[in-house]
Amino acid sequence: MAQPERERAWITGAGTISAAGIGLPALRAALGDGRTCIREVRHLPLHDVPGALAAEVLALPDLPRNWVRRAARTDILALAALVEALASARLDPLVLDPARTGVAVGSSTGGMLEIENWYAAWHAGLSGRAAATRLWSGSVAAPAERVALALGALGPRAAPSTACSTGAVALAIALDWIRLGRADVVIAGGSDALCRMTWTGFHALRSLSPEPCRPFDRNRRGLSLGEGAALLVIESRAHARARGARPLAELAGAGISCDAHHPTAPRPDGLGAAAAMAGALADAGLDPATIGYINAHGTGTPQNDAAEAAALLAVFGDRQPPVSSTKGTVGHLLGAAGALEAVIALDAMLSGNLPSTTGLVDPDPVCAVRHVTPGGEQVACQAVMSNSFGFGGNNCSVVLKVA
Amino acid sequence: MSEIVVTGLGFVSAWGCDEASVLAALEGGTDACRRLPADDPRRLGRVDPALVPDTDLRAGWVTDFAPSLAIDPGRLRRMDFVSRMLVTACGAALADAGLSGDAGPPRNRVGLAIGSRLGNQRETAAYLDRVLERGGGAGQPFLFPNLVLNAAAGQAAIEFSLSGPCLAVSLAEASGEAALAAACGMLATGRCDAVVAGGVDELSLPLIDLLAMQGLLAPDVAASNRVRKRSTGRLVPGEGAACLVLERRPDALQRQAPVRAGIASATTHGVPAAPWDFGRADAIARIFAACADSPESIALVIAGPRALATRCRAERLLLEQLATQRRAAGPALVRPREGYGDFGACGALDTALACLVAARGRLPAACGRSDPLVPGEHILVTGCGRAGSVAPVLIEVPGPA
Repeated sequence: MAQPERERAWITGAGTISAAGIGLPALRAALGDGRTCIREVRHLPLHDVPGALAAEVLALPDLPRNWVRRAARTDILALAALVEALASARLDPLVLDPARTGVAVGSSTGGMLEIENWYAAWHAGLSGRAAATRLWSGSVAAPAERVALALGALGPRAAPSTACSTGAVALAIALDWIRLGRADVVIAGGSDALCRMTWTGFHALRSLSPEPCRPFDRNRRGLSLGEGAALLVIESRAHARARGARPLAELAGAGISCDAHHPTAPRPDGLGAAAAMAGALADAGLDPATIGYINAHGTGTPQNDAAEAAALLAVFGDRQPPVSSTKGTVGHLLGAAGALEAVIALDAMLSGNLPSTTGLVDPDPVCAVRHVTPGGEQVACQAVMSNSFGFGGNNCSVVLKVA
Repeated sequence: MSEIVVTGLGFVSAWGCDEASVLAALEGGTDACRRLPADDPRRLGRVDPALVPDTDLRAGWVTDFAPSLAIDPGRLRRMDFVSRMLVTACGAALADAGLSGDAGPPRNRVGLAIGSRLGNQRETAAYLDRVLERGGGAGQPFLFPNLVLNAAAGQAAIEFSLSGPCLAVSLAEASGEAALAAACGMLATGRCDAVVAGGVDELSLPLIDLLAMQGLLAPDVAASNRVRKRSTGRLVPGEGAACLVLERRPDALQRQAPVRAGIASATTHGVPAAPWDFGRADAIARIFAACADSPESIALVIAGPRALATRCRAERLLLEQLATQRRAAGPALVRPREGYGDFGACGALDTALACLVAARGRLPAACGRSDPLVPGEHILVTGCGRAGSVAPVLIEVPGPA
């Protein structure tokens, strides 16, 4: 007996905020120009570390006061992306069925910046109740809660936190909810603000590049941190059709795996990453040859880029699709990276303009992938992939295809 | 009959770390919350006596578990307390399910879904202490990897070579229940064939101070705290971990695994609420009731502590509603968190307790019901968190093997 067809998940809207600016057009322009937004830090309190670099969001949009009351910076970034995502989907929250609207928004550190500020005061014996009250918005679940509150969403809710694969895992959760019929609409993605803990932690691990990161380059020296958020509106095909929405793409598949190898380092052979990619392709029912572009995790650390290249070789063999990493432009957005890079891959598929890897000058032979030509390429794609790998060996790949 | 079943359980709690201990504590209504020995200030996450004038705090401390029994000694030395608790509970659950070593599904088909409200607090505090005192260049590379919320789940994956999906989730006070909901989703979509689902959280001095500032702590805890705020609450904080091995029923039956209980429902929902609030009690009660197809089948409600007024009122409304639907008396109510201490992911521990009760087929004596539970009856764990996050779990009494 034939299996009933699974409900399809259409992407009908997307919103981003990053160091490139508020909204997808600003991000698209920075990527198109091959411009890096990684600069000396201005907002992050790292005044005692000369030359500290990061891709900071320099301006936040005006948002409704009741949305941002006692909100952490990570929450505000998520809400900024929500505004654009809803507008892009032409979706009025007031017409949504609250019980059928889900939220899957993750973060790796949530309101850690605000927790650090409270902790500094507590450390000095100065903390007060007002500051403490604000801390209820400091957990990694807060962006999901804020987005749900802003939307009035009463459907399924999840706040994954799987380090740098968080945003992609949130998309996988949304895909599963749509397929299982638990929601008609899901707002999914990730948000992360820079904080002392992550910057100093990667600095202590000697993982930060002293210059804007150069993924896959022979002279790469580490990653560059960034901040921002990306949210996607994911709808069941039936719901989108019923309201006459235009699909941007189909979220066709997701693959999740764990290296089970080391708390921070990837498996050198890339087997865990390859399992995620192969899983996403199988989930989407697509052959590797159909993938027209891959937005790589491509952090710029020697180990990650080499392991990812090995994984790409294992999955795609000698028929490698064009690959680029966009972290040289907007940095590594940690919990938001997976969602932001899925949006970039989506935009590349829609426009046919594949962004190149900013900072890549001399490709490392160890990373023998088919790099997008510097300056970008014009290629018509029917399907694209976005990879995200994180601490704890968490790997997640998502596949998008033309709807 | 539920499609997803529980085949293994593991515990690390103030009530003990084995089934017999926690079941006896539930049966006896044991209050295991106690004052921390004053000679053990490191358990609070800081050692500066000037900043910790009084370490005599009453809470559900986990003090007597032996992590080395389950964890490789070499790795144990480098493992933080949160990871030690989780890995111990995970190892116990896998062994209970008969999934130790290479038994059962391939390891790339076994996943993890772990909830935590706050993750590793003590090392976060220690890390920030150093950065605040010595500057941004003084971060400790051996601590930092432990500070992300998914660190403990990653350690468990490494320890037991679990290379299926590894999720860490957080959903306020319902983080443990949210992990169970995520695990059920992973099984329903076929992303894996077995999932270790659970939760872990630890106590720290900054957290206790924070709760005291909110006026949430029970009077004797608040009085011993340096903030000394007047408190009318009854919340006694705790720590611990619990893991449950979930499988699809046919898979469990095929490998002749012991079915401890079924999971009839595990979902997450929202109710309108501000981020620091729980939302309307009547809306929460409606969600509690709606997770069961036949609410009259609920024999026992495992609820949170009475300290949180909204949650408490929602549970009372639910009980009133259920009492009118059952032919005999309404469901019984227990509040185990008042005995082992409340923590963000303790819904996993409450759910594991529900599975123990379902498996033995008899309610705790204090519930006043002596006849056995019958297959198809349910135990409801009311997951309820701030910002209107609600994640009820409905456990089904198993049928004959």
